Amino acid sequence: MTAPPRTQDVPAARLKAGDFLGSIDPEDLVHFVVNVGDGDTQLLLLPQEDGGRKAIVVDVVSGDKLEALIAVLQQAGVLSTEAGALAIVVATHPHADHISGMAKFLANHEALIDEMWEPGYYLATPTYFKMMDALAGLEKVAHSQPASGTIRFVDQVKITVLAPAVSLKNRYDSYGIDVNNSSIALRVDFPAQRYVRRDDTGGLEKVPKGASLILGADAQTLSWAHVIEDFPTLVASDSAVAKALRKARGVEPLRADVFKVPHHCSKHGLNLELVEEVSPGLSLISSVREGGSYNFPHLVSLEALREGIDATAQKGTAHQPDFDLGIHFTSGRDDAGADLGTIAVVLGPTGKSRVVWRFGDSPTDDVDLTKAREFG
Amino acid sequence: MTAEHSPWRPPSLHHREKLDHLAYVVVEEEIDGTMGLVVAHWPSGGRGAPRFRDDGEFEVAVDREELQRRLAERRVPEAADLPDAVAAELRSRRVEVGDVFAIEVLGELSPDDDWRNCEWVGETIDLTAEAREAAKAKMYEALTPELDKRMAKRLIADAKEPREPAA
Repeated sequence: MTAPPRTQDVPAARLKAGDFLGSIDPEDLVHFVVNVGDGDTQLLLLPQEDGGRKAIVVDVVSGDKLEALIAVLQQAGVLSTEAGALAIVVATHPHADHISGMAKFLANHEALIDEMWEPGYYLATPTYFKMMDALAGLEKVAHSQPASGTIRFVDQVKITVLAPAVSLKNRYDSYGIDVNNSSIALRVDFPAQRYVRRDDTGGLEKVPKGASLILGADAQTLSWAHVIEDFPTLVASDSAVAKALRKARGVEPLRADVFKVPHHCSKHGLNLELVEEVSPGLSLISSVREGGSYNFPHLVSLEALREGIDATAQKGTAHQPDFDLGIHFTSGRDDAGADLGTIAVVLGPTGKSRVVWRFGDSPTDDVDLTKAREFG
Repeated sequence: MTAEHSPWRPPSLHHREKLDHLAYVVVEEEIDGTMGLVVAHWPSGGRGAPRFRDDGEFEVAVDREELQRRLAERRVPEAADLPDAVAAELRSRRVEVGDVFAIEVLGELSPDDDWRNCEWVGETIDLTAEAREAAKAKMYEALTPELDKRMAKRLIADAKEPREPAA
């Protein structure tokens, strides 16, 4: 049997060398999905506030690679060097492919970190023991085990915890749940502020909703079922009374411009209904070239992702190439065989401007921002 | 050797003389009959929490049925103070994500070897309960101050008394 053709690759002609740092506007958020091979490491560079930027770290597999990226961003003046520059460090769940570099990272960056989040799921792995040892040694870092519904504002960014649901957390110790379903999944919205004060009257004016990202960690379909229940899409009432009272305006809490696809696009991390709810403009998949031990990403989930973005089942026609559906893989290559590597999305505050950059790094290389190529 | 630097010795291993030849193995993931194991050199820590070497662990993929078959042959029912029937059931139980074993690895402890067929699994002691308890204790140790001895004494003493019904 021949292997299905790889869809992770991108024609070199679609990638153009450019000035990555120079392309970032002060109000943009930059989402890095670092190419660490079989695992997850993400950095969110938040919009500029009072002349500087803070960041949020989500999982650390290769601490050295992330540390090097942080150092480069600090040297370039786009990430603050002050205490609190790393507003939140999240260990989504205690699997080694998400936290194997966390202990060292916490110990080395205590001075920069404000808060550390982990789901409270204790797994008796060496990496878990080491992470908790490191956490015990932190004196100035606040710690939380957040659940669904927790909201934290960091300057002009709103972070909502979508998962784990409280009812899943309550099963950790008795019935037990899969460790993947303890994953902290996040929604990130910016700008958080929904009102602006008018210069002329001093009154408040509501501004349109901004950009949003969903970071799926390794949450599985059980956890997403709770998320869909806890964060339902509510249709706005168009009755005159509802409008007069400004109520029932309708919400789509899972709709997002950027979707970090759960669990490396495994068949248990994604289904069509979730993709349709999210309706992502960009879908980012951390993956390893040869599939790793479990052959991620699974084709059945890739098909669900494609169909959720570009419904063709009824017509029976083929989907566009993944890159034209906004699907990007850390393990992708260009058609000259060069690694595409780490993904950075420069996301404008309305979500309409979302530019994908690639840095050509293999999992063991540092991210070299001067090698940036813009996808277009 | 200080207690902290001596090999980790949970209750099931109290009476064993040598522990250094064991590997600490955790079942971390399962997808379609493939199990992901974390394999580490035996930790130190004496009778306290396990302490692992900075660079001593790696991940391997094994076939679930091969692991189950091998464990059925090699698992030693060492759990302390259990009736024979319970020990026998523990010995043959189905492997699950989160299980922890002390395994005598037959051959070198190297990530480059082929681990899938599980021929490396030698004598095995099921430490799931003790490792899970140690992980829970580690979480509380990391996140809360040490409990005052007087408070602990009171909690233990009061727990032995029947709780008064609400008036």
